Amino acid sequence: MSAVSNAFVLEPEAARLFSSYNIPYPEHGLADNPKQACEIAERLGYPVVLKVVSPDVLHKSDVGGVLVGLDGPKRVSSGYKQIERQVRQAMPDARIHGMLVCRQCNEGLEIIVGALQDLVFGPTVMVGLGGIFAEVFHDVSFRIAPLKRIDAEEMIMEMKGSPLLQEHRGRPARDVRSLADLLLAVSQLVTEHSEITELDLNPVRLYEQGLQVLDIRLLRSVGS
Amino acid sequence: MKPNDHTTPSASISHSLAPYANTDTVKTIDRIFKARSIAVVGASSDPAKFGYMTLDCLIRGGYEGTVFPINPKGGEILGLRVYPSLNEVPGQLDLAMIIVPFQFVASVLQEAAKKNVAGAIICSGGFKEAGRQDLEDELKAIGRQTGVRLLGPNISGIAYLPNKMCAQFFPAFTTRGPLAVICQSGTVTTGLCEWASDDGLGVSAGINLGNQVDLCECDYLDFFARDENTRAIVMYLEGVSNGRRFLETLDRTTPRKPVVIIKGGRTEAGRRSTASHTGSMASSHEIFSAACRQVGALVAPDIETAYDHAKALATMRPIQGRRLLSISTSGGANTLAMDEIEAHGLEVLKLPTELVAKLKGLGLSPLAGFPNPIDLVSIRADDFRKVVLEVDQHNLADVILLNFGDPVVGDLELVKELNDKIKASVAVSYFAGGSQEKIGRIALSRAGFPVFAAPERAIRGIAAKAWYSNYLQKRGLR
Repeated sequence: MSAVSNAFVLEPEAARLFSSYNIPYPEHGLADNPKQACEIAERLGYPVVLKVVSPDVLHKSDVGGVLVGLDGPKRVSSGYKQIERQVRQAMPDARIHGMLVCRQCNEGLEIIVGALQDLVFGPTVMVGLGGIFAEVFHDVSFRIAPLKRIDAEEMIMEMKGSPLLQEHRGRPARDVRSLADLLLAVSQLVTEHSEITELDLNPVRLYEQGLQVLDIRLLRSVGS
Repeated sequence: MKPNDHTTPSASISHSLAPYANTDTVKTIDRIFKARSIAVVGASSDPAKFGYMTLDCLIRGGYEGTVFPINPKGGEILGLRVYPSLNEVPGQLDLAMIIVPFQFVASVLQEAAKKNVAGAIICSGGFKEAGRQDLEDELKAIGRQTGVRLLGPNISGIAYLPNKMCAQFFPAFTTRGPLAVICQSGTVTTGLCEWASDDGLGVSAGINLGNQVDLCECDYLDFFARDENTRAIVMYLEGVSNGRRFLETLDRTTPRKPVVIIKGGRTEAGRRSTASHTGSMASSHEIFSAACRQVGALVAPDIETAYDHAKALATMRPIQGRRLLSISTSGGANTLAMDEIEAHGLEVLKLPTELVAKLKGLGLSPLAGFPNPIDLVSIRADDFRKVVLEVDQHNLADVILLNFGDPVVGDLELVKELNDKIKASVAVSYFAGGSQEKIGRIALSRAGFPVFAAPERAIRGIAAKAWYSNYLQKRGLR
């Protein structure tokens, strides 16, 4: 009997995969010591975000593996060490490859985009409004890949919270087309990479123009 | 009969297996459904046995082809000569129904193959559903070798009414209509067909799927997509064996014929990893429903709604938009309708004041209520006629609901006339109409008009038609 297990793909590698599909991910660099982290931060421009890169840490926030708003070299340096401490405390055996230093993104409407391999229908794409909308109200919609543009558009409008994408309460309308583009790119990605079993882009920040994928969680099946 | 477990997921997801319909299969299904001769193997003179009931059913259903009961004892049952074996059947044989214990099915099938039947309806159980995959594989192999197409095993049979053929245990359906019913459960097939018969709507076919060792739901979809006797398809499924093929088949079916699906069994099929947010939020039923809608098939939450959807899809004219006008004899019937409208994505049409003024000048009851819904406070067909003809001229309503909350004399003539004359799509709700309703509703159904037993049911049916019309429009399919 074949033993197929799921391996978690580290974010830097996932980001590389995404760039070949034109999926927007913040400029970043990988540092394995605080000094290097500062150099990268200098290059990217402040403020930056630090995220732990470890094959053993799937839920970074849960173990203190993420720090945001680091607006100078001292903060970056001490932030690096702080994450190391926090992660080691929560998971003493975690292998820490280093920290991902990312350009911090502006605030935007938070969306969750995902994909999985459905046992009956194969690659399936999901979209939902971030935070409590998806987690508590289960306001998500699905389509089977490969998606046509009309599928991407319809699944977005199907979300009960889709009026939030339009102008309301003084907030501007968001770039729905770029969200549809993202769904189409994810659809193509999971159709062409059937070894990807699960994918979370959470959160995605949607702006008046364009969007950014802030975090990627990618699971891949490893052969028998 | 033990239900077959179709919830086991397919082992591998392959890409395009069948982007086009298999025309040979469709032609063979056509030969099977239009069979001019059937052998019933396992015929019995005992009225308590399926081998007797089937013969009785064929006769009651009005089958005009030749029926050959097969039983080693020979003799006569229900006036039909019984042959001791298939070999002895004279002349052409189109179809064999096999109702013998499972251990004899394979050899009977071989005999049927020698008679060059197009297909074999294998009613017998005791195959995959009983854990005997080996026996089922054996049947499959015989089918492949001989070219005989297999229905079932483990089914109560099939009915195809244009051929007056009720090749099943029971019951005999004789009310012919536009609906094809395809189900994984014999009970659900019968139940839906009975509703359609009692209602006057009628069916073109009732197909019990069984174990689907050979012919499967996709093959039947390809057939009914092309069957001129069918205008809508309703399916009850507990699972699909090949998800991608199913979606591809639906994708090429729905532009030709509307499909409504009830999914049975909402338990999770297979383990799902919860490492991701996405994984933890995906229920297999939600994905099934989304997948079907993506390719133009409606998924109904329960069997009554599925029936109402199918009825509307089979009998209503296409709806160009979402603007609905409801005209009723009574306020109550209208209230029930209006409560449902927005929940189902339809739009309450707002009649402009000039038009309302014009309608008021048509000699209706002074108590009539406007603007939408319109309560005529009258049971006169003529009042409906006047209002509908006037409103339709202004191209404001996409669909008009004739909401009979009382008996309306001249109901059939009214609906016929309006349906012919107006551009908007028409639907009828007939509720609280006493003895006139009973006659009127059946007469309207027999004449092919969409008529529902309650206002909310009418609204749900209309919403289904509107959704389908919109799906076709947005994809440039109509």
